[in-house]
Amino acid sequence: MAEQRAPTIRIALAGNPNCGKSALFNAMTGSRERVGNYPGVTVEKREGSARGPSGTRIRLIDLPGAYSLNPRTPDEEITREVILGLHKSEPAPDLIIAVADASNLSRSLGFALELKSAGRPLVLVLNMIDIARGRGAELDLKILSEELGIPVVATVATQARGINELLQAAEELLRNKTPPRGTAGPAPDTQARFAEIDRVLKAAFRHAPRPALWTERIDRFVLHPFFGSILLFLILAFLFQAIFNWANTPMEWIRAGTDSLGVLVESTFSEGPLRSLLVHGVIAGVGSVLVFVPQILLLFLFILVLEDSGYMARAAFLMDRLMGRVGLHGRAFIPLLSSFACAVPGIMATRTLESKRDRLATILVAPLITCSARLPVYALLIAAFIPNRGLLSLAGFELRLQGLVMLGLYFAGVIASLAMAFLFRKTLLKGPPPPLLMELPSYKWPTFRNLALGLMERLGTFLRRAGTVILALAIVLWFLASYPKPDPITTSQAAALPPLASSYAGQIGRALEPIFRPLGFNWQIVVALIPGFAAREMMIGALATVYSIEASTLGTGGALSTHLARDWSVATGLSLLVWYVLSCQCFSTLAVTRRETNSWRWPVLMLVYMTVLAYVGSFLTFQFVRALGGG
Amino acid sequence: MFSRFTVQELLTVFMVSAAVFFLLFRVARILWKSFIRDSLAKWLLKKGHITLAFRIRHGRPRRDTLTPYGTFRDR
Repeated sequence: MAEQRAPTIRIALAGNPNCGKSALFNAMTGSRERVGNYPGVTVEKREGSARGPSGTRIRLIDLPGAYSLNPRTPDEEITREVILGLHKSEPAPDLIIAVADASNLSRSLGFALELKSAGRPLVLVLNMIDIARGRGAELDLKILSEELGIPVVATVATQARGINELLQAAEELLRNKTPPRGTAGPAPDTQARFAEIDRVLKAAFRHAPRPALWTERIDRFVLHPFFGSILLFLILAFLFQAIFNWANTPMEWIRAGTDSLGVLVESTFSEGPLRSLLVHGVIAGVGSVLVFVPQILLLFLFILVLEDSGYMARAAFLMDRLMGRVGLHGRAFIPLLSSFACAVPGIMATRTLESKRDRLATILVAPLITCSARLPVYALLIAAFIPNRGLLSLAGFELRLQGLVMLGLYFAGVIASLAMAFLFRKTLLKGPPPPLLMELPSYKWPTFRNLALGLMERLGTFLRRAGTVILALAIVLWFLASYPKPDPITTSQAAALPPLASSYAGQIGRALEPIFRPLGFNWQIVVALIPGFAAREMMIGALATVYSIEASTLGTGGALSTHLARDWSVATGLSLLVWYVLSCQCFSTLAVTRRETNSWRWPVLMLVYMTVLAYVGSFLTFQFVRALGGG
Repeated sequence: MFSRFTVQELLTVFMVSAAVFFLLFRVARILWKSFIRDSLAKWLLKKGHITLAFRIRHGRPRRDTLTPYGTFRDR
């Protein structure tokens, strides 16, 4: 008879938000799930596998952070369902690991006691024990374990310390099938739980951790309504300036690389459609998007540093007054923050919001926040139309007009989203202004591993997009812009129209051009807007393909930004920038809105209101700049 | 028949067709995940096909999904 393999055991990780569950999950499974120094990073359950010290196969489930088993938000509901074995597609776990922040045990233990009352085998993990000890905490784990009636293990998840001990404790507990001691009878009420926490901590602590004095001192300045806001502005100004200043050299390398590749292909292949497809479609289209990789990586590096250090949660606190005034929940800051990377995870992160109206208001305005796919478009148009004039020099760092305009565009997205949230909360989604209850994490040094993993993940996502959707769009667009070829018999008629204008793309662009003419868009822009619906940054690839084909037929050359500066007016360039700030040109965003709201009403509303907003904004910009002489 | 075309032309046709099919597949997948799957599962549920509806909505049960009789694999 074949040897029967040991069944996999299921272990769930549960705990308060921002206590390091995902970091522990990564340390146990070797995964690279996203972690961050603010609450609400995980909004879905995630699974990974691990091996116990004696070879037990473990399936680990990372659950969203929760404060109690009485859920108030959709993500907390997932945690409750899984813990209590009520989830539709997830059997109850064999063991629960209650993760607690060792430096703030009085708060974390409440949820651990609730988990204990679920009656399943439970291990308590005191994560971030290094921080607690650094603050002078002296804790007797044995006494704590005896008082709670469950095994207790100390870990530092970010350094993978204590993981073996944790796995050992879990295996032993399951081998002995020991349920937690003292779980008979009804679950204790809140007051009884707090009394129990006081008693346990008094017994276990020889010295309680000192409050985070440095965090308090820094916060006095950072959270100051005036100085804190100025600091926030300065940090963002530095960020966008650095994106322009520091990314230039690697961008030039990539540009030179793609140009050389184009020349190589041109010299290797004989004249024909494949050569044209590779040079004008693939290399010009995909290469023009890849050029912006350094800028995107720099943006994410700054965001990751701000997140990991704990500053982002402070920025949320500073913005809360403003967000409260427009009727957005303070916790909406996290979905909006995620939307700076991409609106899709941003919309999914609205699950941390309790009320449906708050969720809908946040979902509707999240796509107005500037996502990373817009960054290349902004950078290209700014390089083409905004002079690179120095404005201010401070300690060797120069603030230039291009960086300031980039910052302005990001602010424009934020202001538009707040204004629309205000409008929605006053009309469609009326309701009382929600209070903010947010926990500020203590400041931490960002870890190199986390930053590197975060950047690798973003780079991988971008390159996957470039190698799949953007590549496919570039090929299709090349075909549309290259065919039908002008008929040599009717050359005299065709001579009136350049070959590109009579191509399929040209025909589509010219058919739609009258709609966009009041915005100053020519047919080339209209053609480029269409693939932008599948991937926003593809607009650049599309323009590069169109202008590359045009240049090859007309015998002109030069960088894409030079083409744009020569062929478009300043009014057109600025009008297109405004269009990109306000329009909802993202198929994936609409699809995820449909999924999260379970209705077509909201994605349709999103598409309509953002398109109207973009049209009106671009129209006004074009007409205004033209009246000033920029046309 | 293909001798009328050069290798470059044939490769170009192949690449353009592959790109078109890839994009159509991506669009179909997004639509399936965002609403077609749910709508189909709801309709099947209404028609009484509970198992099929569950499979469409939640996928095939995992091999290590615990059941009252042990894991799926044990059975």
